[in-house]
Amino acid sequence: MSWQLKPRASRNLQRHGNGQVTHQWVLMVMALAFWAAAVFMPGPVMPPELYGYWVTSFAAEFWAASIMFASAIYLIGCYINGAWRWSPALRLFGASWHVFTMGAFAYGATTVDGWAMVMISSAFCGLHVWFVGLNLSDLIGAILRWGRK
Amino acid sequence: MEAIIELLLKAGVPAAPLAAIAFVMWRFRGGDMGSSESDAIRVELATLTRDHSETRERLARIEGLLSKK
Repeated sequence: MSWQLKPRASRNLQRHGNGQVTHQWVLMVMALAFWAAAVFMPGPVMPPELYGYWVTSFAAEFWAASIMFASAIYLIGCYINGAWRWSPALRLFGASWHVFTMGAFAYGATTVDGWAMVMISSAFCGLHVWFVGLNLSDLIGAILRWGRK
Repeated sequence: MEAIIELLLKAGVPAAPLAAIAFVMWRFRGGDMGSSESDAIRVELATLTRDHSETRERLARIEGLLSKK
């Protein structure tokens, strides 16, 4: 039995080695820590002065679950990879969901001048916009190859 | 009791995606990724297997002919 973290197919995934998978696992672990903090810590884990009042109107658990969900979908897409023709669609969905979440963090922080949060969230948002592009190209490739096999 | 159930429900939210990932990792372990390369390998393997069985049939036929002599 060979357990592997490195998927073989998609050229974009191959080109980045374990990068995308590791990145999603890091986000997953961060979201798990965030979730644990939200559940077990007594005080608010998302101060409105940092995240913005719009973002904190949703529970911290919601945002943690949102990141976990997106990372899980992305990782599932990575592990299935080409074994299912439409696995790029899973990765595309996960990346798009991350763009939504990180974009919401960035937007929320602009409303309270939380510029550190704006920069961090924007960086992650931009990274996932790039992932959306990569997976969109994989998905287009899968569509174009339809019928050839 | 209620506190335990509440904790289990709360633990279920992070457990569900982790379980889904673990299942997929197990199901697709070894990762035949179905790329054009692996499809080509699959076709090659099928051809080799067919050729191999044909060779075995021929050998059996030759052995049969030889045993008659």
